[in-house]
Amino acid sequence: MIFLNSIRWRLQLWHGLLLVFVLAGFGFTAFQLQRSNQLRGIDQDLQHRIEVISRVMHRPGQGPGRSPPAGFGPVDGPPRDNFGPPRDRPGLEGSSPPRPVSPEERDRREDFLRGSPRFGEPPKARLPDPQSPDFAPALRDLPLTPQDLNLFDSSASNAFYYLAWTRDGRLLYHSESAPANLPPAPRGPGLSITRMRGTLREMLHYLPPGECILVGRDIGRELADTRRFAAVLLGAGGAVLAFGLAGGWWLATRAIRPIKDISATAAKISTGDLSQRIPPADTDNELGQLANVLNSAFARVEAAFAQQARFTSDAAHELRTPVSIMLTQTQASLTRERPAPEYRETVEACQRAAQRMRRLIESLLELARLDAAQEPIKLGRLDLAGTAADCVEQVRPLASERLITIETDLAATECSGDPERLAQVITNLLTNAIHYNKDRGEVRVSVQQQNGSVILTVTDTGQGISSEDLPHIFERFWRADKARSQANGRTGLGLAIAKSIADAHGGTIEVVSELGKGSTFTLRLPATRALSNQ
Amino acid sequence: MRILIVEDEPDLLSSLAKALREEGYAVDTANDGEEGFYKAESWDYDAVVLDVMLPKLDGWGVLQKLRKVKKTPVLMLTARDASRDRVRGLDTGADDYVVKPFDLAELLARLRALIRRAAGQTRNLIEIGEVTIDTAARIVRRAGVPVTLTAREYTLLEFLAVHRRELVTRTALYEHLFDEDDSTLSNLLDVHVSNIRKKLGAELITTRRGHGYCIE
Repeated sequence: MIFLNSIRWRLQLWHGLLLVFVLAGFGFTAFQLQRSNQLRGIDQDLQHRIEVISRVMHRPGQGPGRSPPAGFGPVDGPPRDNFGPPRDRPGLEGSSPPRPVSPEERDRREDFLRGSPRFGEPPKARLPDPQSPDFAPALRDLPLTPQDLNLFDSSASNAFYYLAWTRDGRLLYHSESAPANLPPAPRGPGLSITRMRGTLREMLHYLPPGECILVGRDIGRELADTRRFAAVLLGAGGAVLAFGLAGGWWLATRAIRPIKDISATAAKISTGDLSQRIPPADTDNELGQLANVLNSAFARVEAAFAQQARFTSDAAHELRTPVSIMLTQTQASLTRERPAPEYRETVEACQRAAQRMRRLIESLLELARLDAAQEPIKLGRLDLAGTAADCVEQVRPLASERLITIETDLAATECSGDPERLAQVITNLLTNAIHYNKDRGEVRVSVQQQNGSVILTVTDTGQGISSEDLPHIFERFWRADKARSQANGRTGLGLAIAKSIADAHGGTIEVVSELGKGSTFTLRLPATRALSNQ
Repeated sequence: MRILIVEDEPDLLSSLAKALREEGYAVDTANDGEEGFYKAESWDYDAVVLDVMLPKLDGWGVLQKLRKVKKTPVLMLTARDASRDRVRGLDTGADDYVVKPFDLAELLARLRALIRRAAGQTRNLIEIGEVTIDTAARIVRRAGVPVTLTAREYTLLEFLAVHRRELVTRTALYEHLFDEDDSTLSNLLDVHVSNIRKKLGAELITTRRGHGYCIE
């Protein structure tokens, strides 16, 4: 069932279920409508006939004492008292007077009363001769409207039959075509009962005195029509379902293809070439946005990878020089016997190289620790001015070697930070300011509190930094002069470490510089515990 | 053979210069790119060992400027072994490439090969009549018997042998055999030549009076 996890299959499944549901609902409704329409038509027809027959049975002027037409009913004759005028059907009371009936019309009436000649088994009871003067005398003189007469048209009354029972269940009349196997009329509580008996649609009507009229019709043809209609509906529904499923599959394929493309490209990128990008086919739609999001994520990952790779290669590069010094020094000195001072020189050179490697490794480890945030910054309350003053005292001998003066403007402040780390930053800024200064130059150090920040600035009067180098000077191993100047133990990591420390304190470090005039480095730390709050 | 080393690491520079001098090369040194280019342009070095990371003018810059005026063989020294860097170095006109940290022996062998190739030689064995010179082992044989030469005598002989059938002027010999710190007197050249003749036969080196020397 793994395919159920695929969006396409799930879409297809839901789509299919929805389609089946909609089609079934629609088909069922259509079928019901058609069926009820058909039945209503038939029932109306039956109702109409019942009305006509009941009118025949209770013709006004035909008293209850009048005998029923000879031969038009059960052989033993109907009970006379059953033929009272309808008491609850005033519509029939006020019928218009009889009008002359044409011979064709009479034929149709007889057809009606006999029922369809095509229908069912022949009735057991014999019908009277239609030519007899007693035949359906009431019907002959009925005031039938042309619409009613249509009912007697043999073509319109196909498969129609009727029966009538007396109140005590004796069969009073029946049409020639009435099925003989009809059970006696049941005593229903209502006035009218409509029922299905096999393919026969029957309507029972109880007249108020108690007689019962049953009018029925074989609706086999209509039922077959309905079944055909259902079959057509089913077939059409199936076709629509198949078409809809195929369309849904096509749509799902179309909708999923870009996703598949994206995931294929993403997989390729994540396993191999990070410089590849998902082609943003259409940036306006959701998938285009997804592609853009993924692309920017890849760009960040690539940048991080590139930075990492550059850092590693830079670190290796920085380590290579001292290693080559040690190698050439020792190899050259081992080519022959040498006097002791030469060996001493070699050993000293090796020591210098080893110390340089140690500094580099320490810096690298420190950066790695800051990167991984392994050693959390030990936040303690500290006066940055005091720290700065200590640092200035440390570097003063270095400055006086080159007759550089250090001026300080240190206002007492309080911020939280790691004094050791911050001292490292300040010392680094100060040694840079001295190293890149001109002889007899000047270094100004100031600490002040401003807008919730503690700000330390170190300004030198040195060579400055070119605008091309300026954005890079906090990068690892970046050197403005592109050359190693290992004489003073610079690793090219000092400012990068300073930035990492500033970041770890939630602060910033910035530089402004003018070529030939000097640079100003600004360390900004949040004054979380300002003096005013104490 | 006179070689220029351009390298800004003092300890590396000193040990390289010492090793090369002990190999009998005349060695000049430069601490930055500008000085290196100035020296490489003003003298006909047999080879230049050029570091890539240099102050003032980096190795690429030196090489680019030098290639416009001279065909001096250049061996690049770099701490980067990315193939992109190697390709760039070779494309810019470097003749060989050595990645730090390197073995001194390898550097010396590459230098020898570089000088040999520049003189049109492909083997490290030069035969002149019954005299053979093995430039890799720095051994000279006469009729199969090793002959002991001083370092100066050897470099003089090798230089003349490498430029066989060419007239080598005294100036060229001074330029290629002695470095800038040497205060050798001109007559010393004659002393070396006569010593070689004593050891390997008088007819080996012919003197073109007033011009220089030649090995036919």
